[in-house]
Amino acid sequence: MVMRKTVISHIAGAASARGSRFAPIIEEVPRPIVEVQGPAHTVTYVNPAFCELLGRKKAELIGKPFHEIVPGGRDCLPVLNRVYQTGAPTTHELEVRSEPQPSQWLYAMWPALDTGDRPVGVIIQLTKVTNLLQNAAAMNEALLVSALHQHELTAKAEELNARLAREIAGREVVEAALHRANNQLGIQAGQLEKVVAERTARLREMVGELEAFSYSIAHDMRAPLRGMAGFAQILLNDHANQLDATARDYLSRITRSAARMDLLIQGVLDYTRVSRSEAVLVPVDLDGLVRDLVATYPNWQPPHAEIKIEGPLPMVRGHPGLLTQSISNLVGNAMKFVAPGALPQIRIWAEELPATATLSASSPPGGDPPRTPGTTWVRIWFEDRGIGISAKDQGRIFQMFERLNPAAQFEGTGMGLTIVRKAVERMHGRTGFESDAYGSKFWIELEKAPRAESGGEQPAG
Amino acid sequence: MTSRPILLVEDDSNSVTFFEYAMKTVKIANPLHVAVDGMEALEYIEGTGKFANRAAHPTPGLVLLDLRMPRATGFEVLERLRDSGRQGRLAVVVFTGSASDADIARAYALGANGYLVKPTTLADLVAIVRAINDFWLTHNYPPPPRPRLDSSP
Repeated sequence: MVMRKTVISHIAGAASARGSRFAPIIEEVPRPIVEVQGPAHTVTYVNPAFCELLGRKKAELIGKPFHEIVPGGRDCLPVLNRVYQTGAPTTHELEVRSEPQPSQWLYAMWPALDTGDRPVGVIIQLTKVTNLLQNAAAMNEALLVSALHQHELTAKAEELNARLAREIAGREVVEAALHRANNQLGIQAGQLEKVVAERTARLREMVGELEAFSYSIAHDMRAPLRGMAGFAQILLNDHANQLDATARDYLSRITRSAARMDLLIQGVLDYTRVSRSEAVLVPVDLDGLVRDLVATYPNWQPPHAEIKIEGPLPMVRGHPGLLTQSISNLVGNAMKFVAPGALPQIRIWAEELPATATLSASSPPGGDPPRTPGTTWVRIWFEDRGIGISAKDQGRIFQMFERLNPAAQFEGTGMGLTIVRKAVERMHGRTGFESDAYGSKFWIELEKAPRAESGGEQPAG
Repeated sequence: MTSRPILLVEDDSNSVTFFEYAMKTVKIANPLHVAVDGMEALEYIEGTGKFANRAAHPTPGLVLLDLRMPRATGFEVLERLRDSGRQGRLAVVVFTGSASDADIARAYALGANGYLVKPTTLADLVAIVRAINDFWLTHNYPPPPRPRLDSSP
């Protein structure tokens, strides 16, 4: 404090006595500083910062009483007087409301002493703080609000936490339930699979029994059928002269009906045989099989028919019995379904299918057998110049007992193509056809077999 | 050429009638004996029971054997004949309604000499009986009967 007195005591002097080394410092200080002297507190010195604070020039301020130059200056007088009279430094705060913007004036006052340490005036350092209170209030308010917010946020966070905890707990319950349900589902799925497997096995067994049953029924029907047909024939052979024309006609009809029933029975037997027989697939020399087969039927030879085999037909993986059955049915159909009086003309050939074509080839309803990649498939074509198949009938020709033509015109049971399809399926192959007004082209697809694999030993068809 | 009788083992009387009719049509002179089931067939072949008199019931030159019959099936007859060895050399041709591979294979495995399937029409039956006559009764040399079993003078 002594130091300060000493220093400050020089200000007034510095103002009057130039050359003091403090004068420039006070001049440069960015804080407003003013010196007043005498009991009237006449302004004797102002620094530029003070002038700037009041927005007035130095000349306008020097010589004026202090309370006249600052806003609210009169309120400062008691404090100023005390400092002047007692020589005790003090600070003072003054709120100025007269200005458009309320402000806070902070005064720091200390005495200016003469050489005899008697106060001759007061040195005042002024700081104007705009909106301090307001700012503080605002800040307080903001703080309060934020505190409140914080409280709210905390409450919300806590609530959220609680909710999360509840949700987690709930989720855990759900998860546990899901887990249980999953386990149960797994168990049920296992049980279901078992049931399905058992039922499938039972169904397969039943189908097997049914097939065996139909086979034996069909088989057993032949004995009484032979009886009917045989006695009718004996009557016609040996007793015709004792009968009139009507009786002979009836006997002929019995004979024809019996023959037709025999065909049906044969169809059922063929079908069940094709479905039930063990089909061990072996390489089959298709060329030899087809040529032998065609040679077997006297009615398939010229001049009854023209059958052209464009060979050699390839080796295929198949079953000789199933192949013989299929091909004789297909050729038999081609022989049968010709316009009355027309010569059956049949062309048989094979083509190797490109690997991709097997995937896009038309497939039978009910799905395809899976095809192993890397195998080659051959399509064997049976082309006739018969009556063809009308577009409306093409969807049902492979169905059992479907007959497209009147029985009086074309003998048949409607089982031939069903048997073909079944037989080819048993050999993992496919069947199909194309038909137009000029005839039909049936095909079967089978896996090609290497020629060397046959070893020359071929089971007979 | 044999004039020994044909033994037809057949339980269906219609089939017997048709066979007789076909034999008459083909003009087969050999006598026909009919056994109505497998047991009776074995009795006849072995000359036992009511067939003990070999003079009245001579050993057949050919047996036509149905498979599905009461008492003893055709398979059982074949089995008994071939296993016993006593009538191992009797010509036995299966004559049945079944064309199943299993039956065919089993019949041959049990020592059948042939396998014929009964046709539906009389005309076909006549053709088959004619073939039987031509092959088995005319051109084929049947196995000679063993002396100790041939009790005929």
